[in-house]
Amino acid sequence: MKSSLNSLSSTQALPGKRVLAPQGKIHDLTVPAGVNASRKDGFVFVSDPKSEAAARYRNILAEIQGRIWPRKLMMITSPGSGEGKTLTAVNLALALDEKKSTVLLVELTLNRPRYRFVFGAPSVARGVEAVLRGDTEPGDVTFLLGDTGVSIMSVGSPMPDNRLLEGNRYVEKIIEYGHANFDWTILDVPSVNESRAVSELATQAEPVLMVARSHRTTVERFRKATHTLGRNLDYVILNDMGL
Amino acid sequence: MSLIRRAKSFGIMVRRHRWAMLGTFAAVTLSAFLAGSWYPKEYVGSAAVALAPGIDSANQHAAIRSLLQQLPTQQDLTSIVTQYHLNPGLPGSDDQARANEYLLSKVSIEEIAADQGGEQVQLQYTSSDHHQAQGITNALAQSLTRAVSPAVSQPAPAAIETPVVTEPPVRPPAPLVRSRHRRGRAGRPLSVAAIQKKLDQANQLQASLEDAAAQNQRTFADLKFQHARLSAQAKVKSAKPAAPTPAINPEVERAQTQLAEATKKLNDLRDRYTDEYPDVIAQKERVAELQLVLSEAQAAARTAAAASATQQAQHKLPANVIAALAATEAQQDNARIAQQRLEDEIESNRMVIARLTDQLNKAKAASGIAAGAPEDDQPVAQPASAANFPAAPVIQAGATPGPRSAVFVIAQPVSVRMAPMLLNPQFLWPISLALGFLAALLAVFIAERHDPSIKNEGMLRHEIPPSAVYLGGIPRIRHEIIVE
Repeated sequence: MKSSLNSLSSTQALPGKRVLAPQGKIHDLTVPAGVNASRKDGFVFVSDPKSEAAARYRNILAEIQGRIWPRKLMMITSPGSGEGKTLTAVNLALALDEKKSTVLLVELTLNRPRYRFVFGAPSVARGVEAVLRGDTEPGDVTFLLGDTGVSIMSVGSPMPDNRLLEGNRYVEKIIEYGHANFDWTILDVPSVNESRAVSELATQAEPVLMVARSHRTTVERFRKATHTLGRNLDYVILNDMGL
Repeated sequence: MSLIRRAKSFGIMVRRHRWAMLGTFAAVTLSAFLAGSWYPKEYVGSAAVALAPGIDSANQHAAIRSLLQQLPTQQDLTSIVTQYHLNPGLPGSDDQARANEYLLSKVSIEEIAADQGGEQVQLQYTSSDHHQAQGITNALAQSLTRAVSPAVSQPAPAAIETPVVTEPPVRPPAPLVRSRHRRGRAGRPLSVAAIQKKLDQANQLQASLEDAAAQNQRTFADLKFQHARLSAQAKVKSAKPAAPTPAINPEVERAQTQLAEATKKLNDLRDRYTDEYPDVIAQKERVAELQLVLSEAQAAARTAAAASATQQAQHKLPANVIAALAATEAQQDNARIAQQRLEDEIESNRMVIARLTDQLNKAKAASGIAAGAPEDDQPVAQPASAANFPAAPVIQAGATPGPRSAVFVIAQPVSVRMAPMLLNPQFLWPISLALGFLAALLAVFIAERHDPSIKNEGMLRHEIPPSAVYLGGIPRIRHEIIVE
């Protein structure tokens, strides 16, 4: 997952994908002429929609949508870092998009932002952290991912930690913005052991999805995370399952 | 397919624990190599000698076996011990003898069957030093090749030369010393170091004398064998001429009397003075001269007696055989005299050693009480070394019984092998790498077994609380970028 995220730079892009910049400007980020790039990365709905991984995501989504979630506010976390939260969040967002649902994907991992690199969006000074500080409105830092129905609210400038999330009333503002403008809002929050705000957000979000990773998530850490989330935890997914 | 999946799974497992694997591999490989390098190794030097061409192995077998039992000689052992510093480090004859014995105990000499038939003698010497093993084995092999045959089955040549026997020369007089050696007189006591030095010299002389005596014994045995052979050739029933009876010869009797008196006087002097005292030295010379005179008189008397007693039988024998028999007998006499002289010297030197040892002990005890005992810087008469005292009489000229030749020749030059062989660097590196690799694999399995992470869905389901639902697993997604 890290390699796929880090391998993308602002100069590379998925063929034909466009990013909607603020103030309505649209960028065309194409592959340079003469190069036929075939990429297989974690975003299976882009690279290999017919793969088994994509099918699994669809099944997971179907399972989630099988229940009624009034707020349609999905929170994705994990016991520790590097276990595939962002990968899961993006794939679920793309799966929802495949079902013609509009999705707001919010990056709340303030200390380790990935979305700018993943999606090749031009770096901007402000991001979700500006909204959390009350400096701007959520709509001002939201990007549409090409011609999909997925919108991205990412971190503009990395922060030293995630304490800005704790007890922040502007989080509710983001949630309301998503609820008002999109079918689903997916919060890509830090891992349980990285921020105390995760357990706070878990009381508001539904469903709460925890991602574990095979041969990386320790049993002890998983137990601790489930204990922290308590009854707010709804679903568990295992990434990097064996062959 | 299953095998491929298992291989992939194993590869993923190795990749997960690659640092443990690499660390274990490096540590075990290095440790194994260092342990093998530091493990005390032994070097076995081996060489083989074979009978020289022309030696009739069938007839000489017993003699060769007997010869082997006497080899290597004490002189050879001493030389090797000295050259390779095998002495424990403490001067003294006892340590030299111990070192010789220890060296001999580490030498293996045995007869083996050669590939082309016949017999070879294999030498082996084990040491912790490669150079030492090679050098000592080579020296031992060379010592065997210096051994001469007891007899050769060659027909008597037509021209017979009377064998020449080297006379043991008189020991050169020691230079006069300026220090006072008269026993009992109050003088400057010798220091511990000086006494030790004298003792060392005496011990060395003792070893040389013993070696010379042993060699003389062998020569005497050779001469007896030759005489017996000649007698058989001459078909004399008695096998040898009647042993020369001690004839009542006035010259012999006079020489014996003078010799006895001189020997008595010498012993008296030795009781009063040390061996370096001029009077003692002069008396020794006198005794040696008288011994020589006595031997000559005895030889002359025996020759006359033998000639008269066997004249009737001898006139039927060839002249050359007669001459050879007489020569052999004379040489036997000389060898006997030389042996007696050697034994006397050995005995007297033993007394000197005992006296010096006693002095040394007293000096050591005294040096503990009064420190700073003056060094004796006076020159000391050097006792006659082995170089001045020749070996036992040997036959120098070729004659009947024929020229003496080497019994053994080098059949297989010295080779040195390491023991154990696995510690040889050419084996040690591959073994270390193999051990490192096996240990690395073991480390991977141990790390996997002790991995506290969730490995599969079963483990995860076991940990999920009742309020949560397991939605499923996402297979490992490959991350590759293929640019055509």
